[in-house]
Amino acid sequence: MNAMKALKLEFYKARRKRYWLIAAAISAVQALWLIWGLRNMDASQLAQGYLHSLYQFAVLNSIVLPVMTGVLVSRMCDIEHKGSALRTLFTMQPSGSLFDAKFFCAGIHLAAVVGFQIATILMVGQIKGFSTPKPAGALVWYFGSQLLCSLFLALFLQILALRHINQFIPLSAGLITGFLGLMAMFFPEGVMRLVPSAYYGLLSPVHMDWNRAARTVSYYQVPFPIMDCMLLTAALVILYWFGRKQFMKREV
Amino acid sequence: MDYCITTENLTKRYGQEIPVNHIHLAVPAGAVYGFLGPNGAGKTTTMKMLLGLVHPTEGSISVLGQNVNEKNRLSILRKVGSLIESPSYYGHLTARENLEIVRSLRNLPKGEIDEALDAVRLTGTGNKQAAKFSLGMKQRLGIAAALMGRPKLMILDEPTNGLDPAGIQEMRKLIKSLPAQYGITVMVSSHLLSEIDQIADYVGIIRKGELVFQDTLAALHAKSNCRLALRTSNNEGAAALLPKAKHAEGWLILPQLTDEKAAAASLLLAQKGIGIVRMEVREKSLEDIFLEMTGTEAAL
Ligand SMILES: Nc1ncnc2c1ncn2[C@@H]1O[C@H](COP(=O)(O)OP(=O)(O)O)[C@@H](O)[C@H]1O
Ligand SMILES: [Mg+2]
Repeated sequence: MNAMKALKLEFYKARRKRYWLIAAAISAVQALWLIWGLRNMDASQLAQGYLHSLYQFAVLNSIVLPVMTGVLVSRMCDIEHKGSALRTLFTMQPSGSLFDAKFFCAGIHLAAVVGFQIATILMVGQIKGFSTPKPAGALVWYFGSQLLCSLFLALFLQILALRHINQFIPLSAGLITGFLGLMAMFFPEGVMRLVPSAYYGLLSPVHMDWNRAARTVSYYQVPFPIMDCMLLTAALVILYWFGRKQFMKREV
Repeated sequence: MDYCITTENLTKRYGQEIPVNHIHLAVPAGAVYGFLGPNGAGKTTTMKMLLGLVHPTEGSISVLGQNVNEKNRLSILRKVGSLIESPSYYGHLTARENLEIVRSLRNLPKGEIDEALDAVRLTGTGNKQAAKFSLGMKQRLGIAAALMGRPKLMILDEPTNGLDPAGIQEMRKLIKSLPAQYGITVMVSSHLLSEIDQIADYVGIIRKGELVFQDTLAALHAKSNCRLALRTSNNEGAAALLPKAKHAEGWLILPQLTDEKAAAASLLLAQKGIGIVRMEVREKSLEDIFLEMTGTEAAL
């Protein structure tokens, strides 16, 4: 089936469900958090404004986006369970097409959230007067990396949400992943790479240095973490292939 | 004869359980085929396999003259409407929006939605959210969705389940009218013998996954053959003369006889001086036949 048509249909089915409201609420809270964090910074700190913002958002994302994605995806999948809609739908639409359309639809919402974060950073930078030029490369990299992590989580949670009628399962999986995202920085490097939400930080273009003696924070750009990026991409591809195949075998 | 559905050795296994066991269905075109069986007999599983919602373990299916496989399944199903078990709908969407999804997926003209709503008398409630519908209305919405695109075949699984008596009568009337009014062949399942008796032209009876009867409704009725039951002045003597007769509580039950044979039997008894004291006609009811075939009391 035509992928564009399937995607349109997904948005049609989203009527009255207000998925964007969750995304908008989370984005607004994140924007306020950023503005709050910048409230009494001096000129030298503001010089690091862009890097500070990118770093802060990536950390925040690792905690908040898994939860938000869980809510979003489970709401999107629950409409198929309530009223046993799949029994009729699958006589008209291939199951793989539905799987893809749902994933795309979630992806578009997540891209909007990350895009809104970048817009927020640029806007706050303008208002607060971040003195360095806009780090275009880091911004693009940030967008790509944060979206990649979110897509992986969305896919993982979508597989759970479609498989189980009880939406408590994907919702709590989202919560747990968010919690692990919070804890990830305390894990050893190897273990950290097994936590999907840790990749928000691992793939972020900006890292932080905490100087204990001087009690100062400095941010710096890191080289592109090509191995981590490939690892997550490979995991995404495998999960997609496996999850889609399982879903297509499903009897309704 | 022209068949809308045929299956060969259609089988579904779940571990040890075989809910559908080597079934050869033959659903003739242009009529109502009643698929009758007690709860758990395998009706739903069979119908889901016809629609590709459940994957057969074994066997083949042909629908509307084409062998169904994973590639051509959806294109064949464009001409098949279905309603399986409980209603299937998006609760947060209105009836009209639910049908719009069907319309869009099947590339149908806009007008089909109103026609379908009209056919099930939901025109006035088209803009109400389906979750707020009564069960009967949801079921009618399901029928409307199944009618979209003027299917050649409708597969309806216990469509009267859970409806109130008025709803049941209305649904039965609608189903009965489909072949004549829209040229639709209907395969409808039920665990109610009386329901199938009312609406079907052909009957398939399934018992524990096996098809135990498949023919016209008239042929099923013909099984309720008339037999003569006699009480005579000397039952022992009469039984010796009529070796095929069976004893039952002081009665002799004769097998089904032609008029000539019945006459010959009575003359024979008279010649041997055995008088007929009582005589009655015993007819097996459809319920008895159903009971014999399915091992279950017929639900009425
Ligand atoms: N997914 C499944 N897994 C295991 N057993 C099943 C499954 N679906 C149906 N069955 C079994 O198959 C049998 C037939 O069920 P069903 O087709 O629903 O019967 P009916 O519709 O005639 O009442 C039942 O015993 C049921 O337990
Ligand atoms: Mg059933």
